[in-house]
Amino acid sequence: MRPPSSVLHSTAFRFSIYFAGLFALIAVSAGWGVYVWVSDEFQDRQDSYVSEMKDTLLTVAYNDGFNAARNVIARKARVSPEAGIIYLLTDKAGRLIAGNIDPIPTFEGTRFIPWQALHLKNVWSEPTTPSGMTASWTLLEDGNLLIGDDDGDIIEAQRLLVAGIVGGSAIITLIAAAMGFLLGLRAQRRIDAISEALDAAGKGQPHLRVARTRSGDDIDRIGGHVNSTLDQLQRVLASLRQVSADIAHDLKTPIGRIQRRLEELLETDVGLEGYRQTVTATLSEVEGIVETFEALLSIAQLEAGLKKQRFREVDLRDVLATLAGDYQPVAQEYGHELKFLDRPGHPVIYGDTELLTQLFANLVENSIRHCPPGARIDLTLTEAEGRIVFEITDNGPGIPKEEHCNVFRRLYRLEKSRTTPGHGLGLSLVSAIVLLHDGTIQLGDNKPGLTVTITFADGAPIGGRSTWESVGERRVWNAGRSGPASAPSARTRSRAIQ
Amino acid sequence: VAPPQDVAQGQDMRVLLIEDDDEAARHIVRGLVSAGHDVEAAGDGNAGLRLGALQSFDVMVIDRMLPGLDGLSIVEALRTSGVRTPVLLLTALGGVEDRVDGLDAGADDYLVKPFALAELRARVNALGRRVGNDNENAVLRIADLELNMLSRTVVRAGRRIDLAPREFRLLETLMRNSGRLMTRKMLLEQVWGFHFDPKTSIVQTFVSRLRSKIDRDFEVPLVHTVRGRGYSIDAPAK
Repeated sequence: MRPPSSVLHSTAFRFSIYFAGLFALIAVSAGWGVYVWVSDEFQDRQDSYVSEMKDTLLTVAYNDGFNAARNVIARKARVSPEAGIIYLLTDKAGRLIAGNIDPIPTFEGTRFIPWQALHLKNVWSEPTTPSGMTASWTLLEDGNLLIGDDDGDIIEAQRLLVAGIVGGSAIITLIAAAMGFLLGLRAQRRIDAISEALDAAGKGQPHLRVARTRSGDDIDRIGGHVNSTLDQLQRVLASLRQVSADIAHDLKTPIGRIQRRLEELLETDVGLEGYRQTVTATLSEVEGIVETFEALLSIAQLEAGLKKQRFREVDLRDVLATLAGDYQPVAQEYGHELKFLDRPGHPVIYGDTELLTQLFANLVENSIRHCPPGARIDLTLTEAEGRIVFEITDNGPGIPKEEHCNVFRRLYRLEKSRTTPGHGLGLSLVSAIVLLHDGTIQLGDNKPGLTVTITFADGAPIGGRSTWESVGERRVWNAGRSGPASAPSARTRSRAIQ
Repeated sequence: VAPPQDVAQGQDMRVLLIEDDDEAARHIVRGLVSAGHDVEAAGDGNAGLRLGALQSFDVMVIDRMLPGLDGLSIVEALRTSGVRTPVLLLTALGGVEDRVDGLDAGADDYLVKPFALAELRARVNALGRRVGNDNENAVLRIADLELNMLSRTVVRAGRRIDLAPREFRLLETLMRNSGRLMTRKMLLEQVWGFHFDPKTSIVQTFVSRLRSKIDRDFEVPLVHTVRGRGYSIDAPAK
């Protein structure tokens, strides 16, 4: 795993911080609104309480006289500390008549008077919460009345609100940040896994794969793409390594023979005829090497994708009938029976006659050469539903199932065929030609013997990337966009070209 | 050291060689001279084109990759200016396209490097025979063997011989080049249209079938094997 610093740089984490910040801002703004509203509400209630009290006292004074009011005030003043209300009744000269504070000068309207400015009388306990009183004077006939209420409730409410808002916002922010961090960490781990796999591939070790979550989310999809790209890369690298190693190995053998022969020639007196024989044999070794190289170059050229301007409509029936005619005598010579079983249909594809001939010749020769005498080799060609299927079957030794995917590899030769002539490039060339024609090739067991099935789309479209795909135990060249549904028929194409 | 078997079949031709690799050029010149040809060599494209345009040759052997003017352009320039001398193009590239490009440019034959000198000689000989020979004749004759292109019949010593189409084509190709070595590769290209190397003995099989039909029942064999090289059809020396 990466150090957390890289988590802090992850996109998901940055987003989580943005969102946490946004959450905090929204919570604080909302809290501020509540704070203002609640404070106003408390203030209103306090004001109405004070004015109610004042009205009551005024009513008392009006109905029962000043003294009655004074008595009520004196009584209330004694119990008022718990209620947090101040009462002050003075005469017109400002001297105390009744109340729970020392007289203060009169003023107009409502004022806030801090505790320090009020001299609380006897019963008052030292207040904690309130900072002061909101009070107003009322002028009576025989004196002045001051009623005030402390702001303890408001301050308490405000304190709770602020605590709630700050605490709440902090919790929201922390949770958002923590969630973001965890999500970011999770995403980061998955991205780290991807970049680790890519790093390793960059360093030439393309065997790491990204673990899939099957969630189908974006990271999982990218992981899937990375995996399939790495699969392909690994295959290509493996085949490259194998091909290089095989070329080196396969060519060392004939080059070694050439070296030995030439050394022998230098060191022994073989006479003119011996000299000529050795040189002739050496030359044929050289020809073999040249042949191997030419085949390798052809495959490389085919795989690079031949220009397809040369592609024409090719009637595979004609190609195969001619080829069967040419190889029947050869098969006879080897003691085999070669037959071309033609089925009705219109087996025309878009391709290169020369390469297709080479493709079929290669397969026919493989069967002829690898079957013991007396084999039966059948070529069949069928066309149905826009697909053209060529099949060659023999009842020879076949190819073991576990070797099916190997035989298309360049220079690969089955152990038992090491002794027969050939450079192990035949089937690689075959599959390269099939691929060029957007077809698929498949090996099967003829029980006993080998079946090779090649499928072309009718008038296979030009181009289209093709890839190896594993289909069960078989390996199939899968043409990129061939298919009966999308493939225009050869006839349509030829009209379009004309 | 005796000359190689196929050299004796050479005829005196004037050959132009355009090849920039000195060592390869010396090798080719020596090989062609030993076959009795007269060789003029040029080391670069422009000099080669000048020689080819100004002098008359029986065959030109042109390397495809050359400094100055490349082989394809030389062939195109020569053809445009009306020079119809047969051209054998030498190339390091052996792909289908390369060959087709070469033939499209006006070359008559195409040989991929590296090649055996015998293969080059056989092809030069075959090309040289194309000019002013009886290629267009409808009836080809060698000794008592007669091949009629129009009726597609083969008669030897008055006896009709039935040949399969491919056998007929093989005999025709050999007869058109009678007295000349036809390598296995040349036969594969000209008779079968195969531009690859088959791993079976298809040429040998067909030649032996042809032999069984036109030679077996007759006293004098006409089809000859040049061991390790190819085949030729030849009237018996008198």
